[in-house]
Amino acid sequence: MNKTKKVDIIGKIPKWAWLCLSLLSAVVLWFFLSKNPTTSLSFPPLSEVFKAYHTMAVERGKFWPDVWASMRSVGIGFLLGFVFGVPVAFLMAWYRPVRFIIEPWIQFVRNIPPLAYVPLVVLAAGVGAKAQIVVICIATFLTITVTVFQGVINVDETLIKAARVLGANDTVLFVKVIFPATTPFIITAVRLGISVALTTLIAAESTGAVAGLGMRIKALSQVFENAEMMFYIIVVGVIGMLAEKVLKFFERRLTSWQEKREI
Amino acid sequence: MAGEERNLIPKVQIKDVKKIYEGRNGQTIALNGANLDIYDNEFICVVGPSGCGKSTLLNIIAGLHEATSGEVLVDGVKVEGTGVDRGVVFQQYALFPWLTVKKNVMFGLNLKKGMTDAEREETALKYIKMVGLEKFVNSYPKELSGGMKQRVAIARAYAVNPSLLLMDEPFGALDAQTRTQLQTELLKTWEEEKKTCFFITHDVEEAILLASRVVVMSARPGRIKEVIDIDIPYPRNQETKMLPRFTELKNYIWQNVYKEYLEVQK
Repeated sequence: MNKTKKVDIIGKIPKWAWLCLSLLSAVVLWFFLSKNPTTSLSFPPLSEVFKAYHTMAVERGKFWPDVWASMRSVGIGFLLGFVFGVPVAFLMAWYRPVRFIIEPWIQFVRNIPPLAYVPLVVLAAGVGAKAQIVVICIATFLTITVTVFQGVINVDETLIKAARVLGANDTVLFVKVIFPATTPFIITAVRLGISVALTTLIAAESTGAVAGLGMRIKALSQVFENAEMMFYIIVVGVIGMLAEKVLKFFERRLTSWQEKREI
Repeated sequence: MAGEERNLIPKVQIKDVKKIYEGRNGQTIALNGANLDIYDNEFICVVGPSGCGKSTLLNIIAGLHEATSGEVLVDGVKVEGTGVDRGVVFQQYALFPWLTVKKNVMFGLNLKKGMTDAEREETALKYIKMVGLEKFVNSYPKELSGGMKQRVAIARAYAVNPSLLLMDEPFGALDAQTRTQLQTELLKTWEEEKKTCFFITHDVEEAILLASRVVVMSARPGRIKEVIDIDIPYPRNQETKMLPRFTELKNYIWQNVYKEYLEVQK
């Protein structure tokens, strides 16, 4: 009884207020970290981090080209990974021989850090945007395939039976049952895919990129421009959060039929 | 059963059906030679201990599973795969959660040729009305109670107009009150729009209330032990349970089935 009362109070505070509170505590935490001698080098004062925008965008004119270059690699790489990953996942779930042959490959490559195979990609694709896109595509492809595959094989058996007895053939079964039943997993796959695409950015841009958020973070770290570097790191994080917000919007529209526990 | 009816070709002929599952721990004989003839518009209820192969038998008639040996004929034709002449209602409702009530009921209708969209919708609405859910036409399954979900599943099965309705413990997951309500509704529906019904339950009272014949199955390996004519005339309702004949039949079947339960525990 007591517990439900507590939960109610927490639920009464609006979401945006929680977000503000979360942000405020982060700023406070940052403040202490920037004052503490052992962590002050890693956490420059926030005012300097804000100034870094001016340095990078206005004085040096690097920021927006960096954002553009990275978003292009992430966008195209992710899209290709998605376009290949979803059909492969369905094929694996539908045809067992495909699964038995491809699944070990995926499990094998999945646990290798992208940084390790970047040189091999560069050998094949050359230095530049193409290699970056390939690296991001591989990483997202693996994540998306594994997630969607799980979704397809978890489709409720009785739904398939129900469709069959109502007269569904293989095509109808796929289009009208398996596919819609898998949409929540496809959305999760997109979410994980975007996150993987962003985290692979540094590895991808270590292929001799001339611009990009990941490449710039590495370059700035080498000349100890910590405030600038921190600014770029924050930007990557914020891009991830924005992508998540957009995705949530689509998720609500596409999978509102799902039975969800209210948390 | 009257002698002249015996001369008709049975609606369903179950001929020496065996089903053996190959598992890691060797073979499991789920069904060991089931034989049964079901006639047009009969209401058959199958009772028996869990693991007696009653669901297996239903799945074989539906064409969802294949018999290891033996065969099932429906209207004289051997069952090979599923067909819209045989509708199925599952215990777990099996509604498509991304479709509204109306679209769920229309699922099978949409796959039928020679119907206009307007006719499909009209048919769907007719059956939704029959199960009393006209107010929930555009609701999603998650917004419905268990009893309502099962009503939608029954409407969905009826909508494609199968001549044989297979029901696998359809009320097994419902509370006692909803259960009696749905039993009464099903009786009414069946009397209005006659179909041959094959209904699995573990509830002996439910079986006697609904069935024209009750089939008692024996424990593993499953076989049909006894078929009992329920000589209580239709229309029946919940008051039918008060009849002395009902109690008599119940006691008789209970003893039979109960013995099988003991058999399983050995």
